[in-house]
Amino acid sequence: MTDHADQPSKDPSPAIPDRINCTPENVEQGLARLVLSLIELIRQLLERQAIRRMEGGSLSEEQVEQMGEALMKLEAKIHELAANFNLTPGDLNLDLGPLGHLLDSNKR
Amino acid sequence: MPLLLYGVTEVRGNVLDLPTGVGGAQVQRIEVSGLSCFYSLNSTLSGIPPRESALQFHGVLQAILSAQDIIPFRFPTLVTDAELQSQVQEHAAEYHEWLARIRGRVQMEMRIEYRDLEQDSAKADAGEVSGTKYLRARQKRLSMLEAAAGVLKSKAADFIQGWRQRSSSDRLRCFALVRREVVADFRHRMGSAEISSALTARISGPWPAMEFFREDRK
Repeated sequence: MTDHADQPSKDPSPAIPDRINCTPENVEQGLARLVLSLIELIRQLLERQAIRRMEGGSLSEEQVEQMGEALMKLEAKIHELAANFNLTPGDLNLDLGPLGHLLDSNKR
Repeated sequence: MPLLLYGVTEVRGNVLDLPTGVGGAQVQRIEVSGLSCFYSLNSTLSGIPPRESALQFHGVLQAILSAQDIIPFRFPTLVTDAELQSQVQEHAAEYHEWLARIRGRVQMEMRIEYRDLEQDSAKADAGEVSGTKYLRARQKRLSMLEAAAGVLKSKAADFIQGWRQRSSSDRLRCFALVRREVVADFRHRMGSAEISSALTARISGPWPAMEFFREDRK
């Protein structure tokens, strides 16, 4: 395990925000970031549900293939659209302040 | 002139040398409702590159944290003197309660990531894998991340007084609440943990225990 005692991490402190910065110059990028973030959130929820159903044995092999392919293509399309707006996949994980990050699920 | 807020602490602790704040402004302290509030006078932050000012802010928090427990404010929080007073007075009971609850404890973060993420994504984006393979790979990735988190948690279970996990499809962030005096031992234990070679893990901290504050407030 790498030790980063004195270096702030990529997300150095809960107090440092990563906000959508909508200005007249970059409003399209800000809007794309918001919309693509929500789509990616839904895609990840669907993916987790698909994995749970696959683990539970309630999907046929054909259904697993179809779901996997759909989720894979959707992810590729999100990446493609994000790149068109100079966004990386990491940019879609919005910081919601005290609620944490949009794409993180919590576990105690 | 607006005040840039850094955080609040109990009055009992001492930060002997108040550090220089964002943009070279001197950090100052004021007592409100039995709490120490740290701030600097910053008319504007627009002349300072965001990354630089964020790191300066972070440096102040770490300086205070090295001496006492702190509830940081989000950066940048610019308020008037009256707003500072009313904000802290309104939440004073909550701040006191939480600072008492985490007294002498800090947060350590372990970030576990999948090593071949970009390679896998590129294959998926290029349609080089089947739907079944894609879904099985995701399942395997999630279970590997969970397993690694379990290894880390069990490695220092006797030090851990609180544990939180935040997972996304490609990474897992684990937060441990530990006493200040065991931070070095905790690091050592984490350093000796053995996880899958397909994963990378790194430890950082100590940080203010905000992950636990957030959860408790929900």
